[in-house]
Amino acid sequence: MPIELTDIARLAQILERSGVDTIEIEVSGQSLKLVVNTGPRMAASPTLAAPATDHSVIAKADVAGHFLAAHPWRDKPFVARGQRIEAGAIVGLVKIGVLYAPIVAPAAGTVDAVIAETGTMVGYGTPIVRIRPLS
Amino acid sequence: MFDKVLIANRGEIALRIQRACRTMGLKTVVIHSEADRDARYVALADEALCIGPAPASSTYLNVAAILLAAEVSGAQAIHPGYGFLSESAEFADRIARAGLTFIGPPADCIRTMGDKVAAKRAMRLAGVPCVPGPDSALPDDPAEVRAIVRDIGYPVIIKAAGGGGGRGMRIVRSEGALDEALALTRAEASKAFKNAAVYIEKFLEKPRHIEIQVLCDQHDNHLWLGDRDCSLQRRNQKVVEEAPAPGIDRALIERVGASCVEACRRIGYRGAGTFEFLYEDGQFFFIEMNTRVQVEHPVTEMTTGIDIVKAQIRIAQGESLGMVQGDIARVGHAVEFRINAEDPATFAPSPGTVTHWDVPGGIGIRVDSHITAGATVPRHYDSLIGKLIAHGGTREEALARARVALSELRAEGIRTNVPLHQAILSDPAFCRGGYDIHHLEHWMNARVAAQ
Repeated sequence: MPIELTDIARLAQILERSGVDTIEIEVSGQSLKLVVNTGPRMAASPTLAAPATDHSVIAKADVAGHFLAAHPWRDKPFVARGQRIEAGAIVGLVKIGVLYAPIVAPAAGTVDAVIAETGTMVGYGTPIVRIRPLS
Repeated sequence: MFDKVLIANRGEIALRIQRACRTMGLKTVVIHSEADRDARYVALADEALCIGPAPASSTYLNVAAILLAAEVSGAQAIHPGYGFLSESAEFADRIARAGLTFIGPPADCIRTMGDKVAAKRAMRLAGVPCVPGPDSALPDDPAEVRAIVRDIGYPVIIKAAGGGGGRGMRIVRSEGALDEALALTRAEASKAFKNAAVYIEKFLEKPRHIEIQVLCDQHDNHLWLGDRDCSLQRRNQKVVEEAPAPGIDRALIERVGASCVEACRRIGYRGAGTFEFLYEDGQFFFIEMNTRVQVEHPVTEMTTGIDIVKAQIRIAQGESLGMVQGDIARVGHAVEFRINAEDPATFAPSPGTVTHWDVPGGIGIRVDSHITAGATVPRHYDSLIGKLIAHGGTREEALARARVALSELRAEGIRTNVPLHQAILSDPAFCRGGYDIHHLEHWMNARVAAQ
């Protein structure tokens, strides 16, 4: 029996609730690996300096669609203000019909602000997250 | 029936389509590139989606991005405008497969008209006059070719079947030069296009470019709205267009218009379209059909009072045109001047920021432009920034209104071809009308020589 999209959604929820971060399944020639970010690996920095806008970098959408700050199966947003992130980290999604395109951080640093609001229409180049890069 | 239209174009035609939609109570979605972010029609749209960086290949020619934008915005119909994807049968097909409405003709009509030989065959069958010459490649035997050319009459033009854009062509004026020209063109065609096939047509020395506007709905209404003279051209680019064509027998144009309508009926055409002809010595010769709205459509709108873009949308909604041929009255004369952001002497593009933009007005004057003071003319696209259309009871009155309007038009920060239009309006041959397609280039060369 093939793995359905609904199976993946249910599995992801089970993983998250039980605090398991990885599962691999093989069924009749299909293999599925799910990796769930089950909790903050890094504590939010306790104090936030005034945003150094001069040096900040912006993670931008590169496709038109509706912005989602969190994965549709989860409540917790990908990133929050003050969080340390690596270059290439997913900071949000753009929903285009049934497709989801990731928005990635162009550089490592600390999240200064999530500029876009969940559910709003964004386009190519719309600023999504402001990041204070590591100096 | 759709109520939200995605406009898959930019510049003045994006604004033109948007205006038609808004007058019909339809919501508009504009897709645009990063370079067009601050355009006026983007601000005026119900929804605007930036779908990519400046290059047209990433945006206005990007079928996948446009279809995704339609999905995201919930638009149910797509208007392609002119240029870009407007004559792509594949685009029309993919829109239909996505369950959306393409505001244009059926994909198979676009495909047929895009193939020059197939288009010519379809026109011959419908009784549309075509350039004399067979609809197929020439035989190998030079004696057979000589016989074919004797039927057509000299001069003729030999064209490579795989050629295009002015390449792989040779004019032959006498039988003595035929064999050599044939061999040379075949050899060149074989080398340049990997296809030695050549065909032959009557060569017209001093033709005019005359075209017929048609509108067809799916309820068996096929209408032609009149003729346009687009002979004032530079390097095959139209510069000034007018309706009607001066000095041509009206009864002849009526017959040609009727043959275009017959062709539309036979090929199952739907939407707006234009039949382009060369005209010489009192005869029309079909060259191609444009299966879209054209830049110069306003001159026909001014003389007929018919909103061609609105008609396109109504047809796509499945509505009837609601009129018959006898209802179409053509009043007065209209002339369109294409305003380009370019040097009026060298024709080099002149992109940049428009610092001042004063638009003319008054009776009989229409300006279709997306430009405002402070607007940017990106370097990435065509240099057309607007169109000035003058309508009058007579051609003289339209030209007089155009002169005043051009003197009022003020564009600063960029260079425009307005001075060229003003010079054209003082050319006696232009003012008489009825010049051929080579006139503008000859006239410009003479001006340069005189200076």
